[in-house]
Amino acid sequence: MSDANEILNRKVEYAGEGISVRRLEEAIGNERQRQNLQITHLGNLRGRNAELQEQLTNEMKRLRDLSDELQKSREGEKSALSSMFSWLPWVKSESASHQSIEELLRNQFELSSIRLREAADFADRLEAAKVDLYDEIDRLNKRIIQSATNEEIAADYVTELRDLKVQLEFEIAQVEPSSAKERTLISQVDTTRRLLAEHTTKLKLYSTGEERLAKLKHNTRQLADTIAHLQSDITRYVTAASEKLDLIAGQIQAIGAAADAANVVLELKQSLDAMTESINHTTRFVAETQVYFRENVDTMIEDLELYDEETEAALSGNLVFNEVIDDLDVEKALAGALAREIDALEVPQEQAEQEQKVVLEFEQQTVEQKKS
Amino acid sequence: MAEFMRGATVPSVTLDDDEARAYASRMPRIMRASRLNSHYPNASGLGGHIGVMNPDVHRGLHKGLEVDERTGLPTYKAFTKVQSDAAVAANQLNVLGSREVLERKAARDPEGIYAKQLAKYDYYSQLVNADQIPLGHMEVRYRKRDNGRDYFNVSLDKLDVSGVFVRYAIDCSQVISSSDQIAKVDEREVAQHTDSFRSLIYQFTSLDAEFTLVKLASMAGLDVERVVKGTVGPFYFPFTNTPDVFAEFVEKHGFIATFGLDMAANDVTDDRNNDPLTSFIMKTVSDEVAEGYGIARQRIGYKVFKDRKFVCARAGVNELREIIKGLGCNTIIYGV
Repeated sequence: MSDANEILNRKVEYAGEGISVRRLEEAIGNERQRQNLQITHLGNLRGRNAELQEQLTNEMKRLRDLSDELQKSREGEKSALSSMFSWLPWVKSESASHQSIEELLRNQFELSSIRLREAADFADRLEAAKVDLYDEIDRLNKRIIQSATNEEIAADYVTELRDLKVQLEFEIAQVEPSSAKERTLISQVDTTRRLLAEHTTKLKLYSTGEERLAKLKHNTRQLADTIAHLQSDITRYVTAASEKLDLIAGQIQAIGAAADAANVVLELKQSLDAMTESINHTTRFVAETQVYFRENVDTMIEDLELYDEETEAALSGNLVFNEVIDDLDVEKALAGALAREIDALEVPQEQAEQEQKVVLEFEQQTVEQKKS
Repeated sequence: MAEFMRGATVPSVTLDDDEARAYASRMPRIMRASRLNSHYPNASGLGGHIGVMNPDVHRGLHKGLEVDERTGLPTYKAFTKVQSDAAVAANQLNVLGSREVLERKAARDPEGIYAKQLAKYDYYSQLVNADQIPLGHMEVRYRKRDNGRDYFNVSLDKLDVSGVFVRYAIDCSQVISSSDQIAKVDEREVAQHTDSFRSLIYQFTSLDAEFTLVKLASMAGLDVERVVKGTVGPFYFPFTNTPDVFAEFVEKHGFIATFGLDMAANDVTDDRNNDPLTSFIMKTVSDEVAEGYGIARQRIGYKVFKDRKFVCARAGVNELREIIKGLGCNTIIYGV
């Protein structure tokens, strides 16, 4: 009997904070909130991405048109060079036919440099977001491991309690009815039932929590992978564009005021071509990432919203479950844990079924004895 | 110079972090010591602009510092980099969020992205408060209206293609009814230059003040009282292309900073050239152009004054003075 007292009075140590339906609900809710923040963040990044794309596309068009007209001018063809200056943002009059080409190039270069700086900062933001998500995955993994450990602790204890309950019921059947011994045993059975209810609930909650956290982790990993892709692409393109702009800076300063002279128009054309190429690099990246976002992130967000509803449904189900929990749940809760233990021990399925059958037959016998 | 114009690169040297640190911390001190007046580009702006190129300020976010070998000043690329950073700094500070959060996250991985974001936060914070100099900025100030004419003071600050910083200051007046106007005056008496005038001046910055005065004086309805061109540079360091006459001094004392003044004006009493660098850095004027200048001087009645002041290490002031005397000039030299 001292064994029974030891089991019933044992203080079971679970890792982390205690668990209840409310706490699990709060924990999952907090995790969802974190993920929603990340999605909002991603949405903002996407918005910025679209802005960059539009601005760079406009600049690229200007450069390409300007480059074409300069080429015409060099070849002695009629060009619209002078009238083209009017649509440049820093030219206020259409009559500015003597616009300094050097100034024009500088203004365009300085604007392109700012765009490039913004793109580089954007890449760093993506990397920071990626690091945050990987940290989040690490954190979720710790919680998942904790839940799994607690599930095992709960399962072991519930198994002990269930065995004790069976043993006590057997002993009750052996003692004289209404004796002090029987009363003591019945009292112990009642305590066992109470502990079984309590720890079976914990077993269920830890199991549910583990699964739900694993799903959250899956979504977080998808977000992190998406951002990692984008960050890798943007860094590659920004680096390429940066190298081109570095080259152009030297050319612009070298060409300088002589840019207006006929003998350096070719160099100017080459400079503009190089500049167009650099802008192309950046614009291409923006276009590609935009497509990537469109194809992947929207779907992911939809999935996440769907998952949100599933989570709510699961939590609601848990509340109902909590209200109707009874002894039968012990077997149900243990079934999963037992199946995993059997798998782990590589006990033959037939033997496992036999063990379960014996218990059930014994219970049946006890019921029949009571009836008689 | 002519050979350079045909090329497509700027002769430059890239300073490593230690060299850049020494260079960028020395330059603001030189600029302060130069005591430049309003005829020159803004000294504190230029000193501030170069000061943030210090690796201690940008915290290693930029690799190396590119300096023009001809002038000892940062290249257009280096100036633009800081200008671009300054343009995005305020917005990026909002995006980066709280410094405390960045610091906490950076502490977990001193080599990670949050350490970089923290460095960027600190760099941008310094940048938004740092003095900057525009790489090309024109201002027209309206002086008065008198006897059917509008009087203006025009100034253009620019990093010139020759690699020096230039401030062009022009005092002039135009006939109000002139069709070829350099600026328009609104009802608040605020002047706004025309694009064509800006372009005209923009293209003259590499040329001397006399050329600009003659060119502007040829425009219908325009009277030019004065053209002043103040330049910052060239600066000579051991890594720059230094004229032979200064090379030994630079090796011994570390640097020479020069600040040129070129003035063509009606109220200059005598033609005078007190710029010892004229023969080293100025284009040689052809006989034909020299003859044209002579005619213009007689017709318009202006005179030309050229001067240059110097800053060098305090211990070298007397030695430099002797070198400059040997070149036939007597200039101001400040020690730092």
